[in-house]
Amino acid sequence: MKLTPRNFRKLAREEIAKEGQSKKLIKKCHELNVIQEEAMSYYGEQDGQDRARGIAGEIRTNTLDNLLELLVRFEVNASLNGSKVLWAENGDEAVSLIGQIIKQHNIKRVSKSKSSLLEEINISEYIKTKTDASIYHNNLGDFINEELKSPPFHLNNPILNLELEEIVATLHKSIGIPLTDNPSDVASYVNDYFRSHNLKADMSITGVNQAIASTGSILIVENAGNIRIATANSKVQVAVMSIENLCDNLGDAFFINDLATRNSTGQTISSYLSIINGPKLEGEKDGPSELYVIILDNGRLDAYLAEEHREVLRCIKCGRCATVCPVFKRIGAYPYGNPYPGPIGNILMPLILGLNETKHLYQACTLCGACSEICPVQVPHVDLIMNYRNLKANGDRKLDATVNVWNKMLFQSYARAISKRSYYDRSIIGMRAYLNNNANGDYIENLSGPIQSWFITRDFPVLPEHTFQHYWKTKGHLLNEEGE
Amino acid sequence: MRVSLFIPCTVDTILVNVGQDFANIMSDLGFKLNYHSEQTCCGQPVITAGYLREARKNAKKFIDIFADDEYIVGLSGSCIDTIKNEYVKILSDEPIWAERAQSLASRIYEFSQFMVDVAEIEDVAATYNGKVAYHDSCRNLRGLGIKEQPRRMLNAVKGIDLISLNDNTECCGFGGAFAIKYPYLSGAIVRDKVASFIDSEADVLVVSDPGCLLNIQGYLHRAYPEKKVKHIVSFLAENRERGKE
Repeated sequence: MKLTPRNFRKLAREEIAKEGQSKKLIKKCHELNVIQEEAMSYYGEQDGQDRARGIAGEIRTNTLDNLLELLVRFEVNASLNGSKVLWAENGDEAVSLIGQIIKQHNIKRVSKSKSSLLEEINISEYIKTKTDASIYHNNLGDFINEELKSPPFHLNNPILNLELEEIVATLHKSIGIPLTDNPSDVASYVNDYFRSHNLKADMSITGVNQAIASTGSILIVENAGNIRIATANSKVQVAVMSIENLCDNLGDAFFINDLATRNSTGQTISSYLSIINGPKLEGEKDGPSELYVIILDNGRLDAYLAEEHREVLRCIKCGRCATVCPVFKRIGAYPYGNPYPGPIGNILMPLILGLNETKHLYQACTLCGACSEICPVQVPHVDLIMNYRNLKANGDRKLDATVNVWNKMLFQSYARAISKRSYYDRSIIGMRAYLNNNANGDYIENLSGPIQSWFITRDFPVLPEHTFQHYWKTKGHLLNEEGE
Repeated sequence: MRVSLFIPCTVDTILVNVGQDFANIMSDLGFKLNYHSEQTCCGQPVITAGYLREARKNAKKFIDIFADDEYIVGLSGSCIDTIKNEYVKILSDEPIWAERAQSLASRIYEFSQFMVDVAEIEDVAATYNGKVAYHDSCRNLRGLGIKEQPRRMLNAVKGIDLISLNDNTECCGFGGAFAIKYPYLSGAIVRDKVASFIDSEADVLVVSDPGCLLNIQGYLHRAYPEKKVKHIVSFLAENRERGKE
């Protein structure tokens, strides 16, 4: 079945049915959470961590309050540094810009870094099918996922779902690394392979962790050093960022990056951190001769201007929300059918694909709030989800939401039934009869009709003959007299 | 002290005994009780489904009914979170109503929150010799910030061995309409919640939201009928009576 948000419900059911799968995933998420918590403990106990999240939140607020000014300032400063800044309204525009750059510079080999945004525009597919260049992944997770024909499993931990044996077996088959149970050995075999390929690339495509408006530079983090090699050696670099992915100054960028690192891989600092100001200057030995920065909108600017969705853009893509989400922990990444599996995709994708297409993303949520609680930049996931539900309920042209008439009637009649005690009492009598007629002793174990699905895994108690109100009227009110 | 009882519809119609335990324990502790018999449902299911416009009338009605009460105490964290935090939002473009919603929000409390923070009662003279686990209902914990209050009340029970579940702060998988729309997903989450309860070897799982209660109880009845989940009010009331004997 195709991995799209439309198929969420069926895909989720398939994942749940896989024996032992959710247990394994819960364990993986738990292990990751433990090291993320450890990394965050640098800021102290809860209070200290909340303070750090508060500061990061303010930096993001500042970015959103001044977004357009920051973007233009970034463009000016990046251009002064010699970079070429290009704007793309959507994914198609972004990939065709990259296609033109490939053609213009007669590029043969592209080294591609890991980035959710590059997944969003699906650049790998475009280069393979629409250009003469070949593409190499320089991220181990991406490389393995391509071998397995699987999408990334997490924003920053793309093979979170795999055990070491599975990783080794895949790499043994594809590039012939020796079978080993030592992770460092795997890393060094793979690095040799990646480096030999990266050194031959004449163009690198990267994401951007943070762009810095006041210096016109971009900050990129990684752990294996392949991005640095690829960008230093190839003659052209294309960096793709989304409109909200920047901040005012380097200090802000470092702080955001610090929290992003602790909350994604659980490291205190990533192994490599590159700040690229622009293309190679005269006399410099490495770096690209041409640096293109593509700034992608893809629905975000409308969201920004609409204000009600603006808070989605606070996100710094650490992916922490996924590993604390009770839904993600049971079904993993695939059913979400988008490059941002988990709560962040649930709030971002409606802005890109519209509300009809993504209805399961914002409906398959218990509103537990674990995501917002842990988020390092105070994204109010639950409020945003509630707002999408409201727009879907009433229809919204801008975000492509059509009203479900049946649902609307259902909730209108519910609202009416509770609007007056006499209506409510009448509804209760009907419901009680309906439920209790199907009882087996004190519980209902099976029922056909609109709430049938409850009984797949659970029973429901029979309804007592009388309500609390009846109890109060007949006996309860006497309690006050007894007390005196 | 005079207290107005907010009985959520789930308690009014399904978990009536929890409501009775509530009234009894409050009365026993010396509170004068008020019960507005025209109360129905706070409209939470309508609001979480996104029908905010439709829920406005219900919110206004609720505000009217409880307009004169100084202390309103209820049994459902998710309903109280709705009333405290959602009513103000859905009525935001009607200034008088928004103000009235704000006033209501400042007068309504969840049971353990009221007892510990307002009435300063932690010990209700209950005794229970055994192991008890408390599950933090999501909207109690994250919506209302209630964490210590129920634990303090439970810890004051003589003989109790109060423990936390492994995944204590994780949702039980109820989520209202979520449980009906995504039954396999909801079922998988409650299955794991129940598994950690069983692993904990506690005799009783105590919760403070009727939604979590119905969900966990429904699963237990199917899979482990001998195991018990109780609303905190019932747990305290039942063991209080035994304690008196």
